[in-house]
Amino acid sequence: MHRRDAQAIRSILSLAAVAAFLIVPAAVEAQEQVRKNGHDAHQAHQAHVERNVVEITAEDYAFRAPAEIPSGWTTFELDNAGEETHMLFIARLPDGVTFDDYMTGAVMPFNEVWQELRAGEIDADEVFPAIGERADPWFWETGFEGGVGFLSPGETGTATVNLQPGNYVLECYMRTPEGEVHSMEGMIDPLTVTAASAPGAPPSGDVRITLSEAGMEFDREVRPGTHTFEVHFADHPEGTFGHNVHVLRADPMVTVNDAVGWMSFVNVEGLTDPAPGTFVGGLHLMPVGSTGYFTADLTPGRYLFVSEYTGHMNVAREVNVGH
Amino acid sequence: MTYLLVAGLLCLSAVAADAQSSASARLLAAPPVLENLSSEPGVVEVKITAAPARLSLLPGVETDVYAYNGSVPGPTLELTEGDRVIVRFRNELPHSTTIHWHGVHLPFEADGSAFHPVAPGEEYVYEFTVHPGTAGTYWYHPHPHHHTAYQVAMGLQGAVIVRDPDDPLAHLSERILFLTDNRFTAEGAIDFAELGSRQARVDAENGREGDVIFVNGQVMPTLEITSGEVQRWRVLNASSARTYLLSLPGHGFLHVGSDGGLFEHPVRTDEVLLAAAERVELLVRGSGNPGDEVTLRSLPYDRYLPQTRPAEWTDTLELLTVRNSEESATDPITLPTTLRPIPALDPADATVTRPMVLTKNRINGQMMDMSRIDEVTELGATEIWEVENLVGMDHSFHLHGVQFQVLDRDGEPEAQPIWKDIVNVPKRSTLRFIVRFDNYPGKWMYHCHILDHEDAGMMGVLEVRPPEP
Repeated sequence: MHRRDAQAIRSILSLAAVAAFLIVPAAVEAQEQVRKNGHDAHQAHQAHVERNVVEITAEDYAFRAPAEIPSGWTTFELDNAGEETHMLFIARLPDGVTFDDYMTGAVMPFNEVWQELRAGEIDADEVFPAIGERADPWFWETGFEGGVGFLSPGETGTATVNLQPGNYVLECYMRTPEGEVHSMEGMIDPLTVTAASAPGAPPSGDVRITLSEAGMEFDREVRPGTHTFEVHFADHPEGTFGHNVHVLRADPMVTVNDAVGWMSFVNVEGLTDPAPGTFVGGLHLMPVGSTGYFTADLTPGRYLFVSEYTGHMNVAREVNVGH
Repeated sequence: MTYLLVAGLLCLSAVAADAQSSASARLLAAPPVLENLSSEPGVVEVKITAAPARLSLLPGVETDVYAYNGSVPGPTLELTEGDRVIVRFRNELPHSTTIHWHGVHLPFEADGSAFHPVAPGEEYVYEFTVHPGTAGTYWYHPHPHHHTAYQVAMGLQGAVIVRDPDDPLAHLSERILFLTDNRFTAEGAIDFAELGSRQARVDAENGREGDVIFVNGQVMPTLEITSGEVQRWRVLNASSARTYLLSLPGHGFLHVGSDGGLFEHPVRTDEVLLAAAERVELLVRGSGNPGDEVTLRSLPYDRYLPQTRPAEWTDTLELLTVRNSEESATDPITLPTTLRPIPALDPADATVTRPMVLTKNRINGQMMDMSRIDEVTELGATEIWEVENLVGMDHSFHLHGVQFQVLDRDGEPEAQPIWKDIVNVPKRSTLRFIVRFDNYPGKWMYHCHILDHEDAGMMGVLEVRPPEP
């Protein structure tokens, strides 16, 4: 979730000095009809794929979520019924680590450091070294297993991942307008993934996104409609927690840098409402080499696809979804 | 009527204790009783004044408190079903306050909720009639919006006992156990956490818990019981947040009553969970030899979030010593198997299922707004309330002015209908209760009775409206 070193943090803080970049996927007129046909076929296919759907509601500030689910391909459908932006971050606990351990050995140290930053007691570049010192050592073995990206109030998003049996945590680490971390307010739950196997299968993505140090690559143009994005995590840059992708519908005044800055853990005004636009979902951190899926209903407009932890390394895209 | 033989049901053996320490222990004393100023039959008229006082709560130390009629806990209001009650209240505190008659079915204007604050120096008259069938153990405490936890911690609380003229347990010796906790500075002042401190955050999360436990304002008093005697204990948890898991080692309890009075059928149990503001009636039988002692304890109970769970939560708390005082009684005690009929409210009569989602300091995503009506129902309506606690700590849910019956907890039906006005909703669980809004229109509060949560806004307003003409 929050792993990165001070150098990376400094990079985020220097975003203001980084020239904004706008990368618009190339549109090839001749291929449009082909893609449209492919999209229609994708939707027809999705209707027949057996999916193991876990419905979760986000309230201010708690999840309504099951305590136990079977293992295998699982689609988490997150409905944001609250009045603030939320997310569903899924972490797999190392063997022998309990939910309470996670609270005291990870969430609390993060929160302590955050509170010190917020109070001006430490500088931004001291944040992650401090967390490194205070978090229990096992934290660095925690598995990041995806989850639904930021969702604005009223939005619903899904994330599909292949979960192995084990003990997991469902968490939202957004912040209240008063600066309290949602997980500390109660928006965190244990989840047991049992050895029983769910009947679910991976969906068929219609747009493939590859996340790597080279950037965020799309295999095709994004058209209006509901999409299942197939996200491949090609690498995790050194000194970062890795890549993820959040989808923000934003007006032209909002830059990628604005979005990355808002997502920054060390921005005292970040991760809290108002958001720089409307978040419609995404997919959280996953292990290198893995593939996960998320759906988003994209009406025509301007979107920013942004990696929270590597957006400052140009792992981000502006996508104009045409009419 | 069939009778149940109680002798031998409750007792096993008592534990011999240090005679020297017990000899010096203070005997449990009941709180004073409010004097009835009326000579008219069926009328109870009392005067209560809330005022600062300086009392000895801890041995050898004086503490500045707020007190009802100079007493902490306040004097007990003794009533009988059918009584006309007149409480003449005077506020001599430096703050606005109220007296909320917790659990009593009465008119909105007499509820003493935050809608009827009494300013410093002002008086207010609470008038109500005690409904038949409502005999039970209640209590009173302040309810000013945002300031209840402080005023209760300062000492403002007292018991209300409503008696049934035909009480089937009237022949039993009775004790009131009024449980509170508090925290003190080294100088003996009531200790409130410094704003912004770690303790303040813990208190806000857990509710303020004290490290000194009082029973009727006494620390670890001794309750005497004759061997073979069956006593009726009315246990009130008037603590701001603490939950007690009561246990009397070597003994069992016969659990005979809840917030709203006697059960229909007694239940034998070894442990009783008592969340903030809950009450129970228990029958306890003395056993062993004269001088034998056993300690009433509160066992560890984890109601906390991991991040603010107190390190000492696993400690067993000692509440009072129960000492056998005389030779064993020989006559067996008998009880009716049915204490009173309690008709179950019928879910088929419910006009609505009303969701109540509990999150931190919020109900249904909202924090308390005195100018907002959150829910509306019609006088006489029967409703099911589904209370869902989404977070990782327990909350205790209280609805003003009525008694309700819990239907099920996480889908498991309750064993029998009992009357409640507050119910503990364990972490990440859901329960449903059924309630009928009879007699009194008005704006009724519902809230978490962890007082810091209530003060922070974990409260809402139900308006009960007369039927449309």
